[in-house]
Amino acid sequence: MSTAAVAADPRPLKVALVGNPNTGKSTLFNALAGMHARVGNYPGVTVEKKVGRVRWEGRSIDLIDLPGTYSIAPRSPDEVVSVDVLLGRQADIGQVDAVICITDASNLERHLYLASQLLDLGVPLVLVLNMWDATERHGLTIDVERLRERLGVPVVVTEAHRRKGIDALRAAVLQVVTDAPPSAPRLFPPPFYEECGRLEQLLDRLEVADVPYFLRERMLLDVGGTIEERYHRRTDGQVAAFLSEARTRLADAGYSVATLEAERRYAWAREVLHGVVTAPPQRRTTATDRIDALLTHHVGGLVAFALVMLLVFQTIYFWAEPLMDACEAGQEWVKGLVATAIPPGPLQSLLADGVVAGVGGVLVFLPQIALLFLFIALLEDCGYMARAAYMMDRAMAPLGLSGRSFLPLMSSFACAVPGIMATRVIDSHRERMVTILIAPLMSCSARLPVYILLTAAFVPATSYLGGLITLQGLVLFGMSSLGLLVAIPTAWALRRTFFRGEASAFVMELPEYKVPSARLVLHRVYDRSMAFVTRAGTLIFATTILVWAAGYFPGDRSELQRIDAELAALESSPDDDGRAAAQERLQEQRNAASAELIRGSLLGRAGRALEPAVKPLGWDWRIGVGVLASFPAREVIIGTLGTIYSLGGDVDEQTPGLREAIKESKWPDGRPVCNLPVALSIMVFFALCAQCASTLMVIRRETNSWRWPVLCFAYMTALAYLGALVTYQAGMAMGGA
Amino acid sequence: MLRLSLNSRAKATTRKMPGHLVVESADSQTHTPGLTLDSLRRGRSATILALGGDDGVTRRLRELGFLPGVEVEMIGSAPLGDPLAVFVRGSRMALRRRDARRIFVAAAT
Repeated sequence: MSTAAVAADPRPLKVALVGNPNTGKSTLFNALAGMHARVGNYPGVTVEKKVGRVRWEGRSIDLIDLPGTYSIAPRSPDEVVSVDVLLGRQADIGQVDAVICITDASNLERHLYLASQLLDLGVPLVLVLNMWDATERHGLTIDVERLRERLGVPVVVTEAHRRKGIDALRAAVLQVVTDAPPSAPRLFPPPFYEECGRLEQLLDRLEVADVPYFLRERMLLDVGGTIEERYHRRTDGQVAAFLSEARTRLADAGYSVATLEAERRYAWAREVLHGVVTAPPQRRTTATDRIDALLTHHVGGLVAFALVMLLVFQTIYFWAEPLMDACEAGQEWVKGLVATAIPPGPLQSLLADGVVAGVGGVLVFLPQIALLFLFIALLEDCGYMARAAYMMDRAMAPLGLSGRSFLPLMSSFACAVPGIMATRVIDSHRERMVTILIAPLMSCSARLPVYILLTAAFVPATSYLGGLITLQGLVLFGMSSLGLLVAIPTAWALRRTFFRGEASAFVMELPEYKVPSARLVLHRVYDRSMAFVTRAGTLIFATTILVWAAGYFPGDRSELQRIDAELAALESSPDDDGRAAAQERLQEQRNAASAELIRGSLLGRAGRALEPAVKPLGWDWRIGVGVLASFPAREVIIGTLGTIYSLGGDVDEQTPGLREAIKESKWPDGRPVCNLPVALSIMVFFALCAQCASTLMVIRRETNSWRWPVLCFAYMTALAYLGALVTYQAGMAMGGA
Repeated sequence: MLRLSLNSRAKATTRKMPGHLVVESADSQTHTPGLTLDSLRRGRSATILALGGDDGVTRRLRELGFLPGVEVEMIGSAPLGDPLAVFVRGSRMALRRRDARRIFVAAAT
């Protein structure tokens, strides 16, 4: 096809971008696609689909950014997607016209492993030698022309962060699409290809059509791999039997399938690079070595790490607080506008308490998410993140996770929503899922108001060591740690049930340090924030509306409206003691009316209906309603309890009135409801329960399935109930009343 | 007994059995290596002789370039003792001690 015909063809070209992690792939993608990337999901997997539509020389191109990988031997459903995309078998993408393989020019030998697999695919390939500037630092010289000749594909030199070589890359891609695909270097011995041929015949006989050559190779090479499994089920074990025999035949001929691929591909890489890359005899010490001497030093490294973590979380706290307060203030202001513009009634309440609260409930997370991802992007891009995972790996061992899970779990101590979003740095699918499912157990900041309120009310103010340690402080600490302690057996159970499989090898590259690119970092922050707002945000909003409705209907609000009208009228009368007394009286009436309304609403009725279920936990219906109402968001319980105890909704955990009201509350027969065991059981429930619709919606978004948020909710609620039950019963048995 | 091959031309059978490890090289001389990657001292180099085991971990190690004949240099260990960091094929890689124990090396003289 001539280039003129190519330009005239209206169908967009599909170009996939593949490469090892840490090669600057994201930077290159951004350089090629700009900000025009659409982010979505491939159906059924958690891998994100990232496609950017651009125009090069009048031709429409869809740039597909595939996840960074060291090899395209698929080991999980997520990795299978990459292979399917490259083979043109992914329905929503279709035929791939070219592949850009990005490599680190200073490390070609390892990177050519992937390149050799891509050459076997038979798709037109362009090899990119990125981070070209680093070759000079290492004292390397590379004969690009000779490499081009030996590989038979265009080789483009780039410095993606400086936008160098991008034009040449575009031209190379457009050229390669019109050329014939490169010939696959047949690296394996003849017996191997014979077995591939026999496999083809078998598949034909079994009428399993349409198995590309590459997949047949993979079936033979990947013992017990995902591709083999896929066809195992379809062919009733016949394929598995053949593969096992074929591998034995090859072993008898002297070829171990397990080592064959690695040995052949690396041997090929060495041959190709011989005379192409000239390196100095001794490895040069670079800045990275010097920095690492400090940052991974046994003492200095840990200190530095603690400081970095402290800096990150302090900064987030420092900046997020005022932004969140501003968001809440904004919400109040809009509510005020709604109140003046629309008469009291369902519409006003829907807009003020439903819509505004819903939107506010989404936006309030943005400052934390943006800031956390700012730091994650900075640390990841400069190369420190890998060192952090390296140092924390051992600490993650009790959970059966790797160092990569440290930052997401630690972030979840502030708020699980950005913490769960941060799990995308974890490359093992299994570990990522376990991390996501235990993240909500980390004691988040929204649980604190409940702990503070109940501890202050019911835990005696005794202190030890001359006032250094207080019992209240200990209880607070205990509650905050409970989740983490429970996470250990939970992670173990999850690994044994849903996420069975081999523990993945923790073999992680420690990339060279570099100055983070501002453009890339900001792009990441924007990316993640938008992803949150559009995907999780809509769900959180919907949930808020639903809960509003359950708390509003049914209810006759005429009494409340009458009182509000009287209060409004009082505003215009003279400001004196009489007015103050009248206002106080009306406010009390209002609080009582609110309490009645909650009692009669769907939420209240549900709470009362559930009372028998929560009695073993020591709770009465009011606490039950409070807990129920706080399922979408934990903090709500304080306000809800305030309303139920007729204090109005404007209380916080410090309000002495609320503390007193809880202490004073009694069962119908006069016994006090709340004592220490009850308080502890409420706290334990909160520690272990998934009372955060936002978290569940983010889990939905990150796992691309409803199954996992449902599971998370179910297991945590069960744990919470059991924990609260045991706490209360044990507490009462130990004479807690 | 676990027999490994140093190159794919030698006969190879892999049966998972713990214990005594024998390496057969192409010239049929047998010797019992004891040095594994995790015992390499900081700053020292060694050449990989063989990889033990045949599961996903070993596959991954091979994929990343840990193959017989390759030179590795020990950078050090993490503050908590684990994992280790080594130089292999031009990049720094972190790996856990128990995985490094599968990699048999001959120290450079």
